[in-house]
Amino acid sequence: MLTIDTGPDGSLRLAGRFDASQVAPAQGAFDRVAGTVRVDCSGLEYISSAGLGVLLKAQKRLTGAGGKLRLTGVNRHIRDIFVYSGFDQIFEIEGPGGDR
Amino acid sequence: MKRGRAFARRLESLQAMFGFAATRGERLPAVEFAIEELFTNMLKYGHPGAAHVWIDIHETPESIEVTLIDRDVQPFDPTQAADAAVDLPLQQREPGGLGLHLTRRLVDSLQYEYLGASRESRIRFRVTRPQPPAASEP
Repeated sequence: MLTIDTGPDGSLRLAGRFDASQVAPAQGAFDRVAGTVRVDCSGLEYISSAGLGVLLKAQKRLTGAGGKLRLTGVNRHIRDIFVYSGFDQIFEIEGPGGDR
Repeated sequence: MKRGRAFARRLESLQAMFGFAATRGERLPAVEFAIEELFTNMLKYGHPGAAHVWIDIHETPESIEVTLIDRDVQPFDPTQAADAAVDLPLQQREPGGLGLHLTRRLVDSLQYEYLGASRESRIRFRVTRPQPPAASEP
């Protein structure tokens, strides 16, 4: 189960598991954001390639309009996935302690 | 210790698969990732009329080995799929193609077997259990 909360500043907070069964609702949330968007991933336990696809699509759309996603609170396992997929080169990512 | 179970061929089976793969009360992200990516590939490319996918799990103190079995399918060897182009700049990246690329990096081994007579695909992977940190020397 994945929950996505939208903050008053337009930021997103992801919590739970971003697997293939959660793509449709997640896509809707990411389609609605604009500008530079902080995405709090501190509650995100798991992400699969389906979830990565949603993030990639959003990043391409936002950067095309001068914005971007900024991913914060990324746990170690998900950070490894970002490194193996090259996402650490195309996303701004911060770990739980704010380290990049 | 070995166990096996059939799962319906739909995305909604993922949560039950993850629960089935939990070992000693622990869920291993690499195991779940590999199961999801291999299973969703089976949904995309397998026979839509086939009833279920079977999962066998073999546990040892050091590792967990998972086999996904799909029947009435054409052969497709995930160990031979090309790596994704992960060095491309953002605007040239396309969604898709990362599942097998990442699976091969997260698991310790990945093997494929196709039984032509029964049109059965068997994909087996192994993940070593994380070891507890060593106690500090005095």
